[in-house]
Amino acid sequence: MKNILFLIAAALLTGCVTPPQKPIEMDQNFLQKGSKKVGVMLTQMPIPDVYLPGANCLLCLAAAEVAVSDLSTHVETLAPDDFKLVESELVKQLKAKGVDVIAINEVLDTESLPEFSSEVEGFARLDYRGFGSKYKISHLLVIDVNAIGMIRNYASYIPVDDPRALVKGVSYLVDLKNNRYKWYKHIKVNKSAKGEWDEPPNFPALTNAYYQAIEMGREMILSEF
Amino acid sequence: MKFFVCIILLSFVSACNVQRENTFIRSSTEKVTIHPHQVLHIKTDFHKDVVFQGQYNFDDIDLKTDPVLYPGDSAAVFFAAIITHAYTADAIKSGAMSQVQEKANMVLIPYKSHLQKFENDELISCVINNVNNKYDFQITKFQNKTTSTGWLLKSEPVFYMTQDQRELILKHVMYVYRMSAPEVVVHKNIIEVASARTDESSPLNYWVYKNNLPAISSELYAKSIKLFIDDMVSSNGAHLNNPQKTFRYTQGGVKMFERGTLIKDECGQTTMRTLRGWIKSFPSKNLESTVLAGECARQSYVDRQVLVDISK
Repeated sequence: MKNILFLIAAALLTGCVTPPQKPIEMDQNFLQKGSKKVGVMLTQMPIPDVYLPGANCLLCLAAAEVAVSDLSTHVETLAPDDFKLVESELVKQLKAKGVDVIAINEVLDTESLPEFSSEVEGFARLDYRGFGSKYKISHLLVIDVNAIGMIRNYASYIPVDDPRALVKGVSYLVDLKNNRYKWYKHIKVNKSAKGEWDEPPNFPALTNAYYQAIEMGREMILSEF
Repeated sequence: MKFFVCIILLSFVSACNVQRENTFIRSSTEKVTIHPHQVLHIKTDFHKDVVFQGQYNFDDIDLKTDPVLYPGDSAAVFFAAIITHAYTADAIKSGAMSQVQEKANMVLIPYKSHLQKFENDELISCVINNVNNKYDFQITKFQNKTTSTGWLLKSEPVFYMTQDQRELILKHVMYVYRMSAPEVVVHKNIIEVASARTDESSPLNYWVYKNNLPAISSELYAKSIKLFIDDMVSSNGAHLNNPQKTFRYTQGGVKMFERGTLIKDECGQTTMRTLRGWIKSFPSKNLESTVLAGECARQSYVDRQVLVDISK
């Protein structure tokens, strides 16, 4: 009986796991073909933080956080604003290629969007279609950074590498007629400090790496268009 | 007993730990006044070969390890295991860095026999007179300590060839001491100067058979000395008010980014100060969206009569 209950519970839990969205390549010159109007939108930039994957137990995490406390204090002072330039750069770049495009001066709050379900792969899980009529656009290009700052990998209590700058997120283009992704790309940049990193209080090498990671993240998006 | 075994093991592991590259220093902002009658002696290992390495990328160092379960027989064993793990992780990290550098150095294999003909003495000799002419004090090669007046500039140049073999980059660590107190550093910095890119079909032909490798290395060396001295003796910190920005430029065919402040942009060369206080200088045309400064006559520092020939 216990085995059967366990199997049912396992089946129910498995059903809850949503597989991550796979990358989707954009057709060549897709945006230039037909009469499309694209809106570019950013989500709220996260506050820069220090991420400590691998410090899996509570005590490990506490020890790791103490070990990087100086760095955490510094990272909180870093501005993520340079990444936001990607919006205006994209608009400029697309306009130069003949695409009808606008920057939407509203921060996209994904939590306020209704869910969208589809049995078929390649559809957004949130419903973006409302933006079509709101901004008179046919496609929405979203840039969503969900982690920015530094990352240091741990194996339990021990750091296994030096901290690196991190920019992580996704960028995607949604067809607002049907809520289908026309392009989807994961953005992940890890950038090492050049040489010694542990230089409190200003951590110049890691700060430089942080701004390099921001530039590289922007490049990853811009290079697609 | 287990505790002692761990400690013994730990000592073995520590012994395997690889030394890190020591070319990373904090710059100093102390200004130095060198009077016209004084001499600045440049000191280096004159009879050693000029150091060349392949340009490498720190991001190529990739370390991933699985979570570790520590033995919990006793508190002592537990802590010894953590320390052992820490040292092991550090040794692995240093080993990975060495591997990246070794791999990057493979770009120099075709140049190896020619580089053995190029010593620090020859690097400096062909530019020393022209650098000297720029200042009202005298700059000479250090012979031996015959005087306790003047200044000593300890020079540690390392040249990096980009992986596409089209550019040379000098990372030059310099320290200045008073001759009377050679144990106290009064100014230090790292100056990085990048060459212009060659588009020649055969880089080996360009660097070796046209003898550009010693010529351009010496030119970069002279520029770095001048940037270092100018920064050391200058009381003009006007550029410190320049806003911090991210410089976007290409090097070795790769896009590079560096955060810092602009020092100057003249004669086709952009010079900036990094967040660490180091000075970087690279051709302005390598910068993205740059407005090129007007042409200006610039004489080479290299005296071709003294330049070593590595092509034979």
